[in-house]
Amino acid sequence: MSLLTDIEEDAFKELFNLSFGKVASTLSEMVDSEVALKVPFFCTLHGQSVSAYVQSLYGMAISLVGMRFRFVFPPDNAIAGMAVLILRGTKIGHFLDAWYGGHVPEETLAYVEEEAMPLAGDVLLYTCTSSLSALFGSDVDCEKPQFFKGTTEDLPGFLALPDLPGFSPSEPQAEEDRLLLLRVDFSLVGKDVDGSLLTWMGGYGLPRLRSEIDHFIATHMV
Amino acid sequence: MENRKKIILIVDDEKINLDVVVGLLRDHYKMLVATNGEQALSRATANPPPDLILLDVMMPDMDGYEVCRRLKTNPSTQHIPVIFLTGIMELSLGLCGDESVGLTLGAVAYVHKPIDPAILLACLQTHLTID
Repeated sequence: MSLLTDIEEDAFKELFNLSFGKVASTLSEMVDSEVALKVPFFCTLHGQSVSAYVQSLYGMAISLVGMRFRFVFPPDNAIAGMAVLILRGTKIGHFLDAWYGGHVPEETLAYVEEEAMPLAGDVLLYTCTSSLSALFGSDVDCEKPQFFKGTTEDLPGFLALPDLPGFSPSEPQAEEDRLLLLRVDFSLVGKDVDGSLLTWMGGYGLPRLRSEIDHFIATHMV
Repeated sequence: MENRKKIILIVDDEKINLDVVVGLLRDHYKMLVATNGEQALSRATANPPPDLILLDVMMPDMDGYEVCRRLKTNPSTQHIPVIFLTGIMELSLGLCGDESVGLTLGAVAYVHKPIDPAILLACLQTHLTID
């Protein structure tokens, strides 16, 4: 059973689309290239299925940057989430070349990848979460982005949502263990780089998000 | 004869440029980094001071030329060789003048970005030896 009605799902995707529009603009400036976006994809899945989902998209060997965040609704309500930037494994070198404006020397590639990708994540994922939080009318609290390179067997811990100390995460419901996941695939035109931006949030936040989504529908989609 | 690793200060406002240069040089030299002109001037007076400075030309607030000018008028830093890093496009578009500007200010060389590792290493070796 879907957790959202069709119109709510469309509104949720539209909110994400607005947010990723800002990310695409930032990314485009960063790499001096047009960014082509696909249509956002929304689904719900269980927390333990995220790494399998990522594996289904990109295979077992994965490089990604992840940033945990919390949307905070004062005084004491919050939703935990995770934003992830994935580039297709063999394309990271091309992405770094595009960002650097030349060929990153092979002998430095591993070092540059490890050092530079968290910054790429910081810029792009923070743009995504901060613009989403503005649309939801919440504050946002982001952790430092982390770079992961390895196999999906080691991913579950890396992809876990952050704790919410001091907050009550809305009312626990049947969808407590469900995640609301949004994904946009993108490519850099003429640069042979493609990847995805994914964001997921605890399903327990749905009642709160739904009221924000309904407000968005009332003001933008009627 | 002195055996300590020579210290290179790299100054660039672009993180990825810093990463590429540090990645190339960290096995050969001790690396210091600065991301703007003020930081560069401060790091240049550290103890021990850098043996050579790689300085990006195009930076916000204080460009590489101004940093070089200040380094060369400060008695405690004027002896440190400065090599300018600049993009070929920046030069060809005239965004940072021609190479005579930096050489007149006291820099010893220009290295163009994207960096050719062999050229950068050879250039450093030459100017550290002369020093």
